[in-house]
Amino acid sequence: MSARDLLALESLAVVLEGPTGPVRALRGLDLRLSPGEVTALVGVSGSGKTVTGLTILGLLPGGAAVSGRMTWRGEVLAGDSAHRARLGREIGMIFQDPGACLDPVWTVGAQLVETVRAGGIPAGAVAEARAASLLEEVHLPADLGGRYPHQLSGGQKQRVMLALALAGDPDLLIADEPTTALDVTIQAGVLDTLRSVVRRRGMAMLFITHDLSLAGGFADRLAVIHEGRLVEDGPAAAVLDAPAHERTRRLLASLPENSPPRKPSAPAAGPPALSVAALRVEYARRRGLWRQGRGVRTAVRDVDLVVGAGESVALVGESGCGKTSLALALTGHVLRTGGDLRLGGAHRPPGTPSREAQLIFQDAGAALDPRQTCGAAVAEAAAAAGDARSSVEDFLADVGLEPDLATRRPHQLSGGQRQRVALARALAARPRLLVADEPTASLDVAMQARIVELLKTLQDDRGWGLLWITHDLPLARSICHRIVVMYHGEIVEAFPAGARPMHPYTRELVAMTPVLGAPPPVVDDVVGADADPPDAGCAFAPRCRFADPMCGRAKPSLTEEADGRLIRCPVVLRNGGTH
Amino acid sequence: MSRGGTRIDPGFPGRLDTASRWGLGLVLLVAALSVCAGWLTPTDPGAVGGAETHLLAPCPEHPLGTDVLGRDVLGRLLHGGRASLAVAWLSVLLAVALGTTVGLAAGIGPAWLDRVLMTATDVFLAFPRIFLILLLVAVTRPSLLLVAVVIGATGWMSVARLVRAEALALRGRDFVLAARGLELTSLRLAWRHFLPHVAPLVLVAATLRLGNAVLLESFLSYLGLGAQEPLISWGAMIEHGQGHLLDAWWLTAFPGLAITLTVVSYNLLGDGIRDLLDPRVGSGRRDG
Repeated sequence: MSARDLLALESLAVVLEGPTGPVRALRGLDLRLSPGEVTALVGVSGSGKTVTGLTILGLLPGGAAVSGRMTWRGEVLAGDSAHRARLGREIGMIFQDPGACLDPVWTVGAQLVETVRAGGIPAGAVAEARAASLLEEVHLPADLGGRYPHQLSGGQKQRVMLALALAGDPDLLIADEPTTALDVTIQAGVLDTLRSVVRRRGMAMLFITHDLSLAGGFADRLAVIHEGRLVEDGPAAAVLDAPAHERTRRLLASLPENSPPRKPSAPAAGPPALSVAALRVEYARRRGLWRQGRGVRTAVRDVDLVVGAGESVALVGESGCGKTSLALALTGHVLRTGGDLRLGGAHRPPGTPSREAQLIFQDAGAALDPRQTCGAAVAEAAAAAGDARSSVEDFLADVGLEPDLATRRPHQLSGGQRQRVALARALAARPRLLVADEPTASLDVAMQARIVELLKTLQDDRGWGLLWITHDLPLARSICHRIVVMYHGEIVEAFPAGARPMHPYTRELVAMTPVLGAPPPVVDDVVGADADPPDAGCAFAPRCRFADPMCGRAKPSLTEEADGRLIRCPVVLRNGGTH
Repeated sequence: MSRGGTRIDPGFPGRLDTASRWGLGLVLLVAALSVCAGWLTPTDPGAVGGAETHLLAPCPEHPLGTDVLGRDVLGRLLHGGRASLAVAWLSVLLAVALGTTVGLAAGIGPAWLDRVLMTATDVFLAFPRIFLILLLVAVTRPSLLLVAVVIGATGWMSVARLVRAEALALRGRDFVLAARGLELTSLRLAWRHFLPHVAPLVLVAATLRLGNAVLLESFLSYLGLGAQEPLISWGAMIEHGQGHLLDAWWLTAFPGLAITLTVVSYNLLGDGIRDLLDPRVGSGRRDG
């Protein structure tokens, strides 16, 4: 090993105890991490990327067998609890779900001070000053220390986790999918903070992700892992320009941005799969100590939407914009408080779920009854649709599953298989409309690409309408004919997938989305999506870089442009469609 | 909705711990002895012996002694177990059936039904159970069937609350939304997607309640409101023997011991099943 290496892993092999026998998680992994360098470890689920991080930290579960050599600054590590104690302060770690790592009953400041004190700094002004400087380093206001975790947004929590990880002045930071659960705009900000911290401190960083476009713009070095060993390792730009290994090429090919936007569909005869007018969803909100105050929170505000038969429409927006409320109202799981909903032209009463509008959930594991076999789930849906002719095997074959899966229960399947079973069940119900709520968010890119292909083929064949809810614009473009963008419960723009977005909000979403080969986005101080919109005028105005005083006065209306685009932005309209 | 990640299989086949295996063994032993009482004790437990057999202390012919009428205590204990266990099982079955139905209806049905059923549950809970049982048994002719029905009909509330709480938690799960999306009837939804999930909870509650029901039956029989001659139950045996507490201890000690052992073994078994089915509320010592 070279003297520069901070950590060197040489032919590292890990065998874990699985429910059905030993699992070879790592099979001879070689990886070197140097100070000041960001290394991205990229791979599909099950490739061993998380196990690598846990092995470095000595956090593998009991029963794991580690072989090979790990050297930290030239010192050989044993991989046991002594190793963990030795490295506790020299390696920092941040995880995907920051909410699970913060104690809900203590303020963020108290948790930071506690961590600082664990490093040997006595309680009092010194520890508090140190905690405050850590908050500042991760771009959080100092007064945030007085708040509890539940009062923070997802991006703020992840920054707090970063501050906690930095408290011991580590030489290596391991980040395991730190932004997977965040919106693109928030993700861009957190990544920006991470990058600046690593650069300033000259730390080494291991960035574990399944997202090649994200890794490409963020890391100096890309290490592609497949089945427990590295198949490619080199400078990020070189790997992306000329991928040497088949696995890397396949990862690149499965990125949604590398597939062309979907062609507009020919208008189908007959009534549209879905048409809603002036749909509203309001939740009662009680305030005060005795919950005596009454108020209403509007999640969806007068939405008009049409999805033709055979048409795919993407509904895009940040978390909290009302897209999930809209999906639940469309499928009758949430009571709509206003508006007219038609499925296939027939009026549907509010608050009654309809077999004709099927939901596909983000987490297929939760969407399937754990005590029901996959075959029983599909058969139940077919029976509900009055379909006695088709067999369960036919439905499973449609989604590319073997018939013998019918006797298995959801926990015996992989994530991709579960989502296929959920899809088979939804299709067995013979829907007119499929409402898919980020169904591929928990899958890796390769699996996502396969599910998307499958959906497109099935839709061309069967002709149901598809409403695809996501915060991933490149993905939306590769699946859908039309894109509808929501902000604070309102549609702000609707345009064909091939067209250029015009609304400042959509443009911000595009700018913040990591794209392969492009430099990372420049992040201004983004006003959080969780901020309440102003009472008057455009809801987006406080975040809008093009906003002028006029925007704060009158509520803009959704206006149709000459090219058929719908847009809710006075600035764009005043300037004749250009900024 | 949560993102990926492995989750623990809810039906994970584990093993009962040592204490609950002892509990299971005792439960089976007591049940087997009671069922086979007729073959094990050839003499009629009601057969009255001559004066020379009255109040014999435990001896080779009568391992647990005899009572004031010269009847074998061992034989009466085995036959008494029949009545005690039958009442306990019947009452618990009734309580569980009632409680599960009310709980599921409240948890799955509309808000008004939930309110009505839970108010009823609270009213029943607020009513002094022992007083109700005593009143009902006192105004009618005492019989074991009546005792079982009364114990069952006054013991369903905790099961109903338990089942309702679980049903409310299940209501918001994605797979229940998916099932509702198929326009299944409420009955079908309850049967296919709620019952399989509350069944393990109900099983644990039932096992724990069985011990309680044995106690309650003994109490009623002790007061003379349960088993009537010539039927015997453990509680009735204690009642008969209490006059000779000092000179014939075996008349009360052995039925008392039988009651205690049975209650303890059902409780051990119930705790064990609970730990087995739900690792979250277990002893928390699983992996040290």
